[in-house]
Amino acid sequence: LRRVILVGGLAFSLLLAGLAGRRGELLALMLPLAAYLAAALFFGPASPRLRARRTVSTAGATATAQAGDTVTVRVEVVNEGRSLPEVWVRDPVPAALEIVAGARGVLSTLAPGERLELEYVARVSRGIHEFGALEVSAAEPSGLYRRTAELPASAKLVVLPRVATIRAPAIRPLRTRGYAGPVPSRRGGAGTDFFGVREYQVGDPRRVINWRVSARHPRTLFSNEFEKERIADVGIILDARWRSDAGAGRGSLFEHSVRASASLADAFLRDGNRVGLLIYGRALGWTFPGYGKVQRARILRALAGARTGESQVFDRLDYLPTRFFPTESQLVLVSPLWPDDLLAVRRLLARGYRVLVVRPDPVSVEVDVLPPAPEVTLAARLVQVERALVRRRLQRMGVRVVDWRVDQPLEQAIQISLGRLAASPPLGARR
Amino acid sequence: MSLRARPQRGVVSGLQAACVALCVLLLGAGYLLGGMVAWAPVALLPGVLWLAGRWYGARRPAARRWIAGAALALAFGVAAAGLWIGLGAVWMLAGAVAGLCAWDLDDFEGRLVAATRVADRVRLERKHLWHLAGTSVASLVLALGSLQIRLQLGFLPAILLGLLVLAGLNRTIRYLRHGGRSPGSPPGSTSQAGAPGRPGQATVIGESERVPGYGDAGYDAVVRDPYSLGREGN
Repeated sequence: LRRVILVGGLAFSLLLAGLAGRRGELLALMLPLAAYLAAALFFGPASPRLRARRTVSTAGATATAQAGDTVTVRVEVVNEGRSLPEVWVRDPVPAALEIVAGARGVLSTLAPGERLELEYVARVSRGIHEFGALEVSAAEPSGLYRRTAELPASAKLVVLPRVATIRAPAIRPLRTRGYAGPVPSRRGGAGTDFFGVREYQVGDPRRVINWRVSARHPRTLFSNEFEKERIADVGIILDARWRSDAGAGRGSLFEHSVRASASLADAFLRDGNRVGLLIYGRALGWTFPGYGKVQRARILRALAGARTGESQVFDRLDYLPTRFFPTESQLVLVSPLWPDDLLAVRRLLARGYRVLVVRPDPVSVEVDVLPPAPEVTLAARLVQVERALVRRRLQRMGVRVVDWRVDQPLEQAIQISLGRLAASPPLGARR
Repeated sequence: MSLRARPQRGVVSGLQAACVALCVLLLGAGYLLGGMVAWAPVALLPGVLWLAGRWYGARRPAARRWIAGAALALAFGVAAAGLWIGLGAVWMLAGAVAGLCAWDLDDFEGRLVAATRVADRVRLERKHLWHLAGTSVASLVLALGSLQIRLQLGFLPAILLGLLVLAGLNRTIRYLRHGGRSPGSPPGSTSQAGAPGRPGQATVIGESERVPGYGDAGYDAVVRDPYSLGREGN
């Protein structure tokens, strides 16, 4: 518009001067400007009739995408109307996508029926990213007269969290389900771990007869009984409260928590367990428990959209909706856990849940982003002392705690924290 | 240079420089031939301003536009002054048209530079140059032809004509400002940002490819997070 005003203003000034001074030469000088404006109006573009088609594809096979992978976004625009001498197409890329190759905007000319391709490669981070409408601006050659429009070419891109293949931590819920699995069920039957001795029953194989005990009772035979191994219900609770996050961007603590949740869910599902997910933050994001690959996909999709949030209601863990999880099942809480959350954990234990807490360490993340200073070191030490205190109180309550420095592998942290305890779990005891 | 020749990269820049030089030469020649030797260097001012715009605009592209606008105004000002004092009209008109071409090419080059990618650049440049050449020649012929017309206007008709032109200019600016919609018509009657198309007529159609297998979610692609923040997952 500034250009139009400039040309129009010059033309008008010359016209006024010519009329005022009665100088035809000035009026003649005005004519090129007027002709320039008139040509812009005459050749002005019609309403752009365009059709857009967007394709989003990954660099490799979807299931085997590795670190550093990118997506290729291809937009094809077809002119279904009149000729457009100068058309500018721009794709407003979601902020979370980092363009590594190509351009998201293109300037060109489009004849009727002609195609225009826009292609770029973007590095993606976890989340659900929505592509909006394309911005189109068509102009006549001088660029004075421009028409803008939005061209619908929406698409949704779901970037799942990266799943680390880990072994599931040993769990001992009070109640298991009816199908065979890896979790000791506290019931005698077929299994590998010794459970007790009972009187011989017809049909017992000879190898299960306990000859030592039978020798003490000449008239009776006794058989060994083994602990049944069953699958269990596992509920994973991801703490998505704003205050439980630390750091920023992709290096934030919450991103590590999301990846830990994904890895744990994957490990428990691989063992055949029934796994559900609750994202506890600004609102409650609930994924109903289920089995297998479909459930894995559901959980990963839910985790892809997980974001931290703030809510007065869910600021503390007091409102954990325990009815989502079967009673006496195993809960895995992925949270840095603050001292005022301990009461909520105690309530969970009182309702018969077995609780495993995976605590990503916010201190190491925060220290990495803060400038080195004695105050920072002192503060970090104080928070670590507080965390150690919380851990001790949790362990006294019978909660199993995995303290995870996020710069170390999760599986290593699980082995360090639970390895010894997992080797000899006391029967019937709440830890 | 023939317009039929295939335009190369940078041809717009070269032509713009040529137009600036032509503008300066024609205006300067008009002043020199009219005996205004002392005032001839004034014709250099638009060229100097354009040069300054190029030098300064390389670092601040936003500044380049208004400097070019000022240079255009100066070129027309120099031409108008020359015409006022009775110098050769052909020289002045041709110099002003060359200045207009230089200004147009300067803006076009700015648009090419600002675009992250230009598809089919050669055809785009060729279309622009043909359009500009046609407009310039037509306007120059029109201006020179108009010098042959002698029309006596009284004071009142001149005032009325001025008011009419003012109203027309106002109307034109409003028309261009509203993207082709005549003032007073309801929004959305032509393509606007966020409201494309006339009512009841879809002017833009969009579609996107969906990846099957994601059911109702209808996601177009599902990939894993590529960022490996820890050492796990090996």
